[in-house]
Amino acid sequence: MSSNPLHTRLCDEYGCEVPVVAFAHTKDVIAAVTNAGGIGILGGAGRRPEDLRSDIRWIRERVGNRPFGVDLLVPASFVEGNREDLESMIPQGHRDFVAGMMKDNNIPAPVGSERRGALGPGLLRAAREQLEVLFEENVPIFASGLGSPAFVSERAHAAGMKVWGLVGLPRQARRQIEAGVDVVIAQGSDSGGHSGTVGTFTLVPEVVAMAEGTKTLVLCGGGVSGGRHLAAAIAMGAAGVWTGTVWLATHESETEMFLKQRLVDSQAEDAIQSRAMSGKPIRQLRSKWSDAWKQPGAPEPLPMPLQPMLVGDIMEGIRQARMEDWMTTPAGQSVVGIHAIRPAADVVYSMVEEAMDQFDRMAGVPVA
Amino acid sequence: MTPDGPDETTWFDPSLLGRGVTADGGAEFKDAAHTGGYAVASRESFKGRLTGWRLDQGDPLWRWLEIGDLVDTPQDFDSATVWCEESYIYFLDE
Repeated sequence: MSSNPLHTRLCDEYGCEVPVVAFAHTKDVIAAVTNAGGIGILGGAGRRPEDLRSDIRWIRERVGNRPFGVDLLVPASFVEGNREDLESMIPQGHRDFVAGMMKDNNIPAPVGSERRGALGPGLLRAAREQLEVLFEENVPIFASGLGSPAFVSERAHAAGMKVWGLVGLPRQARRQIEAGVDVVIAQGSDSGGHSGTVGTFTLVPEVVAMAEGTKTLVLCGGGVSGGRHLAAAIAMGAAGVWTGTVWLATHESETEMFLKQRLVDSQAEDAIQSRAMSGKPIRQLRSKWSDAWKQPGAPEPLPMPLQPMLVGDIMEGIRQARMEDWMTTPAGQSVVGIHAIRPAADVVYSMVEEAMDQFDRMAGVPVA
Repeated sequence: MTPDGPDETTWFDPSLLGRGVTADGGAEFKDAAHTGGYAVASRESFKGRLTGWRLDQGDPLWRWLEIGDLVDTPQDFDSATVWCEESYIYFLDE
């Protein structure tokens, strides 16, 4: 057994040097973190299969045999209905509110906006198309960021691919462990986006206890941005950490520069939950958009998928006009740990160094 | 139930009809101005009774069950039924 507390089973089984996993939508971040000794997981959801394939090949050219993966949001539920039926369900009062917001704030109508995205069973076929790319490209790790990956576990394992699943509830973790998933990512509610209601410090130890005696490893996600979090995750029995928000403000990230600066300037309480984007609570940086839906007289956001259908055009208009105060990004409460825009490799190295300082402190070794 | 697609088969399983369940659902969401153009997940929970309809999709099989008589849904959810993936359906009588 290694005396290095950061050399975990994740390192043994995947060949990474440090148990730091980076989820990011930018391929450059994935390559940088993987080459710095961690594991990069590319957020592939919403990409066209040909774009996903191109990004996978780009990453592989830069990381060689080092471990990396792709995260897809395979669905866990869907409702029937076509776009026309759903459009008719949007109340006129909501349409008037959005029209008024555009007029009052000089938000332009979008030019050439494209409505796409699958509904109903089409969601399943779209997810299958993306999964096929992962199989064809022999991606080392498939991470399912939403639904259970159990249905493809056997095929993936036969192809030499590892299967990871992200969970927000203990019961989801139990099902994934029973299905033989290789890594369960226990993600607490302080994470960015939407991951459930259970806090990281409650969720992770419970999932670790479930996985004991099985082949499944557990990663700690939600609120992780630094070495203190990494040390705490290892102390809770996790094999490493799953991180997301911290990579948004790296040099390699494609996140807009003004949003990177906003991430640096934000406090934990600036990562709010709002239903104004999608109809579902998504943790994100506060913006004029989220504030507008909190004003007196503002209607309650509609349920998914009606809310994104209602606001799709205005949001595209905001993006095209680059109305920065109205734009935002999903972000977790760990945003408070971002103090500068840095190279991704530096983030990895400082996280490891800070974690080792914490282990020294616990062992009674004086820390400079 | 939903019409069959090219890789889908719907069929009725009487052994499921009326069984009480809870389920963890969700799907992806994407918009350009607020997610950088990337997709994020929505998670949601349901409680109701199985209608008995199953949907099998693709190879390897992806198994889905239809839930009706919904008594617990996400806020403002206004569909009478929802299809949920079998892995995240929990029977109340087990």
